[in-house]
Amino acid sequence: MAKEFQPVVLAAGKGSRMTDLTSQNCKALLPIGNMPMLWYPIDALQRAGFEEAIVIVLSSYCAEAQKLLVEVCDVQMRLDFVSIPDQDYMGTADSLRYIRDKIKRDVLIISCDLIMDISLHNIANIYRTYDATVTMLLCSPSDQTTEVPVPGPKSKKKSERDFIGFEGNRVLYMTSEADLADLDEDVISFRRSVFKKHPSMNIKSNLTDCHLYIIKKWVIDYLADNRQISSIKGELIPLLVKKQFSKAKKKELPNPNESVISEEVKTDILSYIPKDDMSGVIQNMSSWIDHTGDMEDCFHGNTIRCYAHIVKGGMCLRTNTVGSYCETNRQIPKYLMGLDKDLTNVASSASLKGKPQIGADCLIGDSCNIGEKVSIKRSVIGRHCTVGEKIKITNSVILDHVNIAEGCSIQGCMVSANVTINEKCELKDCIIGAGQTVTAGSKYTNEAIVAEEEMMEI
Amino acid sequence: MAPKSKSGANNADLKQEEILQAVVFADSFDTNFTPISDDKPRALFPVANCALLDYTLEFLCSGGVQEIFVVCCRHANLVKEHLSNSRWNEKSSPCTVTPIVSDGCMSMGDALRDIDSKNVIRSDFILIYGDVVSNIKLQSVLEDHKQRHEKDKSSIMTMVFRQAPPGHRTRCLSDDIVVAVDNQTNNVIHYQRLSAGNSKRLEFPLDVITEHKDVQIRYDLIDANISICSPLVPKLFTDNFDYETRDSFVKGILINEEIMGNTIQMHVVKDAYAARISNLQMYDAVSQDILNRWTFPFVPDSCYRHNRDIISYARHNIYMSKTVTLARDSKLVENVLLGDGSTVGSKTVISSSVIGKNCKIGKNVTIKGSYLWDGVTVEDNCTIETSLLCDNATLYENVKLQSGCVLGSKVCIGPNVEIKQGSTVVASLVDDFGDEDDDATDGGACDVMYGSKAKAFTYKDEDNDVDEINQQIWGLSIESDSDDDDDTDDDSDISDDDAGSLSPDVPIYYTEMMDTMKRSREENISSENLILEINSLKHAYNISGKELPHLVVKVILEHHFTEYANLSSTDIFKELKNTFTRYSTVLKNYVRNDESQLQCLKAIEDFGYSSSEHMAFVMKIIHYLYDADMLVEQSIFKWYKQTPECKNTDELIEDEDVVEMKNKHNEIRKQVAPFIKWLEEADEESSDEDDD
Repeated sequence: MAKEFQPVVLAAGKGSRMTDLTSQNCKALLPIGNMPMLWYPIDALQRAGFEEAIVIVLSSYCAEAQKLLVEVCDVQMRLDFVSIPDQDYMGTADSLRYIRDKIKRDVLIISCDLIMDISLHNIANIYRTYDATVTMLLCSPSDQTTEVPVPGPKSKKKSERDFIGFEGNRVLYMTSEADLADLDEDVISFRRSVFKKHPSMNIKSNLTDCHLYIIKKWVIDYLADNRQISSIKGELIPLLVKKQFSKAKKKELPNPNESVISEEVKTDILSYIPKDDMSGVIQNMSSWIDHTGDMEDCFHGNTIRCYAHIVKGGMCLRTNTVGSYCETNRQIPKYLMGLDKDLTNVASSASLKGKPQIGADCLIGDSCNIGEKVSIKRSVIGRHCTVGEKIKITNSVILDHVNIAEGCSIQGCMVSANVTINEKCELKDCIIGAGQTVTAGSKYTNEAIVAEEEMMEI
Repeated sequence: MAPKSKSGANNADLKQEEILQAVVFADSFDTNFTPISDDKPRALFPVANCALLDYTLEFLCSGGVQEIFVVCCRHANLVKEHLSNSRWNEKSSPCTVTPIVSDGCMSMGDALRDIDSKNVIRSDFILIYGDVVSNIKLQSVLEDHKQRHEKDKSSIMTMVFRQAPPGHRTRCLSDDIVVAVDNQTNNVIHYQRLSAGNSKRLEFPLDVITEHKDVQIRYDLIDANISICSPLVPKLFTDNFDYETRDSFVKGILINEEIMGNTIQMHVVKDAYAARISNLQMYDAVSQDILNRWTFPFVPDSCYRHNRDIISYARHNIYMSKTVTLARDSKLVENVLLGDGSTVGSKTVISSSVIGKNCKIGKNVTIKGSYLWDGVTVEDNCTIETSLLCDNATLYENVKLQSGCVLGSKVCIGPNVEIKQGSTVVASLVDDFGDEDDDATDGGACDVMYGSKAKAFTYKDEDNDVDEINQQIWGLSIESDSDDDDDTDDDSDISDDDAGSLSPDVPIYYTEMMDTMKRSREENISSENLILEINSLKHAYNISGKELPHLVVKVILEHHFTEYANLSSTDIFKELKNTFTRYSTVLKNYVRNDESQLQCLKAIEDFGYSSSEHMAFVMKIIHYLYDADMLVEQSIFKWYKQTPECKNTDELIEDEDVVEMKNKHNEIRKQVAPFIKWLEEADEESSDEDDD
């Protein structure tokens, strides 16, 4: 597997869907279960047997990321950090184009915000079986993630549904709800020829794209020449899905008088596909076929093929919103303990007074001080935190160096680093920005308590 | 179990026992089979020598149906007569078959409303057309329906489909359907009958995918036209007078799903047979399937109860009655059914065909893929290919029927004629008032094309062109070959999309190029750079590569002649040579292959049209370009032989323009003629030399 693909970790996202958390901190380094987010995909790669990976980070956090991963998280893999400038807006496809020279083989692209316990082999097997141009990972929502209140001010949830049409694992159709809305029509149309070849299409709209792709190398070459494509998910994948059914245009007759200046620019995507005589021979000799119902060639002669692995059950979470960040944190103790059987949910260096009630689904970071008569349920508490007496914490995420004074009740909150919460506060479903101080006795529900200039940004 | 007895209708035990009912429509409410359905209802058409209705009834019977209502509209007496003479009227009949005559019903909706008013439906029932051939096991479908109905009273109907991928033989283009099902609830959410294969895109309402999370869109189904309905269905038909057909009913239910709360489910069978004979193509397909035993147990050799005749089954699917007379050297190739009392002459070859009762087939006849109903006479030396001959038709000697012919009953054709593809022939014409015209035997007003002894008229169907199209499709048997064309067309659609779907701005491009030329002359721009500029202009104005040679040549000529407009004609030509040498690199870059050479010649021709002075130059220009090796003689000959193009229909309408075009075209050809002649001679000489 390691020789087959080159893993690329995309960690240069700015976290635009969770600005409350990312205005002061890099998204990729946000702690989840007291580990930086970036560690999870790298760990997944490491477990799958990869020995090196390219990590794309924003230049301003490059050094910090490097230090954190190697020193704190003890990553053994050879990581090749590529930093891209903060100020230019670069989409995921732009980043790929940026590292084009480093790509020698088919690439496995994984986003830094993906946490999953699925073996990468499942996806690689699909890629191998169908010789797929693109293989992606989709997950169906687990039934447990029912509506949990999201901390912070209530806002209308923007729907980001994708409509994906399948036949088995093959992806035949893909469009986002926004694109459909742009069309402003009340009908949706498909080409009849597609239905003739794939007569039973399953369209699902409840899947989320996990941003894990295995992409053929030639696609990167195509990307390099087509600068208008800036996002993998938004532009590249839908384009490839659509192009599956187009045939190569007939080539003009070879002309003896070569043109003085070649006017042909490589524009047709199909011209990028490398000719591989061997695979053609193999396909001719193989009796395996991917469809039934007609006598056509395998894959109907399509040279671009998109497939997806749909995860049912298991853990597969993307952390790109405040809500999903909290949810991930709640689920992370189980995940971490699954990885490491010896892991205890309370760090050994934490000091507990009396017998605080700490649920098995909690994580308590290093060097925490936890006072008497404290009850902590379904929460993650960072390193070096001080939790006073008679405090109730449920469903919350508390980052490092937070001081919570006695008598507080914190429910469903997201508390950033270096926050001080004074006595007898009652917080419910709030976001508290880094370095804030909450005055004693205050009561907040569904609010974002952040510094003023941050508010302006939002 | 309470003992069954017809007299015990008042028995309390019997009332509790649920009697399974079915409603069969012995009328299709369409005219797909005219003219042959004019004197025989579709339900009584012989399919593999057995009335179509009997297949439907037999199928229902095998599914445990105890009470069948046969709704007859047109030709009701024929259907009733058939039923009273059939096994269904015998004491041994496993179910009661009651004909319901509802005259004046124009649609399935009317008939169902009639049934509702008669109040005969007591429980879940099966709704089916009398032209369905199927061997689906109904028991499991019924059980599923009952379970669903018990769980959820709102599920009022189960539609039965058969899985068959596109291109399957029993799929016909006019019955193509697309169904969308919600995978979570198994409800049908969209049902669409596609118009006969014209549109390249399938359209669905957006709600189909936005309102449901997991939708299966299926194009691999054949509608078996079998539905399990709850007693509510006829009531709904009564309540809504706009429900005409089952399609409109389904549509109405689906649209009102949220208001009424009624749902429709589907049942897909994979390994059973079901098809409705809705047109000739399907008649052909189903007949072949029966001969190939896909419909087992409903195959010819087991239908003796209806034929009262024992049919033997031999290998290669040859079915024969005991009373068949075969000449010694006749040949039955495969998939042949010979009915009671038929005779086959020597050296006759029959394959994939059904021959009815008491048919007489002469010597040296070839019958392939055809259906001969009862009492057909075929004399010696005839050839019949993929045709349908109704009762008592006669072919005299040496008649050839090309594929797709339909001969109505009592038609006589021949001798010594050939009937062209897809002809529909009837024995008598019916005029507008519905009276029969003078019979062919009396008046002899038959077409000569049907032969001297003929009793035949070409059937004309003024009000319904659709049928003829269907019949032609059947005859030509090209059902699914058009697929490939579709694909290529689609792909060109894509490439258009890629180009940005802007229409090419040819006129603007033209003026822009003129400017470029002018500038290149003034600033002495090198040819290479000129090519670059032209190419970039091409992209900017979205000009296809094909048009380019035409435009470039035209621009060069035009530019030249505007610049030297005041010179005498000989001087202009001298300068023209210079111009051509200057632009030779450019020209060579664009005028390369055959097509571009033709384009170039076309450009010169267009240029000649513009004025009579220019016309005089045409030959010289072509000659010069030939000498300069830019044009080869083959292209010139090809261009010379081209007929004037009338690309737009507009030109056709304006006759004057066309005439003018033709005149100019001829004039140019006349101008060039000496040069062509010279070329031809030169060509011959050179080929002579080659021979030496």
